Amino acid sequence: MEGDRSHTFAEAATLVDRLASGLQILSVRPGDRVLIVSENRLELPFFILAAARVGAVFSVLSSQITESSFERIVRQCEPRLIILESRRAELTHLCSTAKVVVIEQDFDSLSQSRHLDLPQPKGDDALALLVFTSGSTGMPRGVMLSHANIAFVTKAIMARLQYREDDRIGVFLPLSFDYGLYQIFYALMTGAALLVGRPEMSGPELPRILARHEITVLPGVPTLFAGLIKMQSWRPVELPKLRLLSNTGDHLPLPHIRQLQKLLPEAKIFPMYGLTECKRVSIMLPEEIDAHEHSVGRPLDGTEVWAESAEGARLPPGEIGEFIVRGPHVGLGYWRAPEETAKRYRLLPGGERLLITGDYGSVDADGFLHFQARSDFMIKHRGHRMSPVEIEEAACRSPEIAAAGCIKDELHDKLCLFLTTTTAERPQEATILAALAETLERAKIPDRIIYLNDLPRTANQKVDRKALRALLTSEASA
Amino acid sequence: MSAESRLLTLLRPFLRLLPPDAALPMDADLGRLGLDSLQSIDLLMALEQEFGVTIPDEKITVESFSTPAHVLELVK
Repeated sequence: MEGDRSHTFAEAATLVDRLASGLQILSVRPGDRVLIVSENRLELPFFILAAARVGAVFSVLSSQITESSFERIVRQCEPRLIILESRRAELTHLCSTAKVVVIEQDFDSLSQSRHLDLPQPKGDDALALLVFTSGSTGMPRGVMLSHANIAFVTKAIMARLQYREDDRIGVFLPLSFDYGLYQIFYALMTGAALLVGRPEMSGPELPRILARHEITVLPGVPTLFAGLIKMQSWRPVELPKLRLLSNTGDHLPLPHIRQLQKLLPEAKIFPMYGLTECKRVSIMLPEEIDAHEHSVGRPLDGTEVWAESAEGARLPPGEIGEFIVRGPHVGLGYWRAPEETAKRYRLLPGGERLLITGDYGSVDADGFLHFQARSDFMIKHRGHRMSPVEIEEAACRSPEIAAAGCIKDELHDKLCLFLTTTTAERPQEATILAALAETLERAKIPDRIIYLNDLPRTANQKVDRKALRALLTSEASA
Repeated sequence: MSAESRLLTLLRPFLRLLPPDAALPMDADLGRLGLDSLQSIDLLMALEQEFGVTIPDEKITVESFSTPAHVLELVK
């Protein structure tokens, strides 16, 4: 559903088959890559499912992707087909040898393609999906997920969240974000209806949209829920149907959980923790929150998570180490990046892969995970993952900037950029931010700029992010 | 002060990507200048206070916060 337009599952199945035939006519073959750059819209799930149906590897990119990121992704994955919205038609000249489909122009004719015999699905271990996130160097990296990964994790997540056939899911997360995308699979598995909303709808009108469409299931990120809390406290809308809220992307602060419980007594809240590389690590059930307030829940059934010491030893309950994840949801690695893959995935004899998360925490005696800190090399901010290096490099493109160090202030949920200048005069914050906006996606624009005379450095001259964090801590206690 | 200039003064602090000395035309793309959906809630509250009005729910749409001209429609 989108606005007044809707399709039944039967209509959707026919549409997907027709579109899949259309993709075949465009010579999309099993294993070919199909890139999609689009805002959320009704056609998007059909294109995604059609690409999967012909055995192609699909990837949904942010509709706000910069030209430089897009170009790098095209070069890496050599797509057969690129599906664009007309508002991003300017990307066409960067599409190399790929065929280009413009959704508004081509959807109708493609969806009336004559029916062709579609290829038999390849094995479950075949690559299905690439999710592009920032690698540790700031280069976009495609997380590879197989049909088996997706099938396993979809069932495991539904075992906890238990969507029902009579549910109505409201998706206001971009489908380029994996938890937005997976709502399509949850709807297919459970028969729930799916409302394809857009991120802009998660502002002041969200409560009324939820009421009007009788949404029962709302997947979100902390900023979406912060907005919902604000609106419901200020000018509440009756939302008796809303029964399930699930949070991902970032930690949902406990005070927000308590406020949501108060404002929406009918709704159950599921805090979750995950990484794209395995989609989901743990989910907390609503009835577990009170006894485990500071946990991110238990690992999915059929998976295992433990904390490991720097020496590689499995730590006993309560001790803090790096989280290691084991299970059929652990993905295949990064697309054409064996070195990064080796850093984050550990191959066991027999071919099983473990995920080395880069996140630190402990597992308690009851099996609940307690999150402590992310590694210094990756920042997760408002649901987006980024490398501090790419933000620092972007800042240094301005001639006035001598050096840059980026960290996240977890306490205040702010992305902070420390800068030193080449000139005595320090550029205004908005000037720096506007320059950054030329090369960085919106989510990566810092919330705060802090000028320093000198940037702290480690013994081998790298930016000392621990020292930067200490600066924020001393500021908070001052 | 005209409603238009009061509005533009009110808007500026919400636009993190707008340099203080840059012009803010009535058809500027507020999303590009840094207004996100969470901030548009704060903006809505600030509008009601500044203009002493209660903006009816049905007047607010996704487009309401796209440009200064659209925002002005809310308080007219």
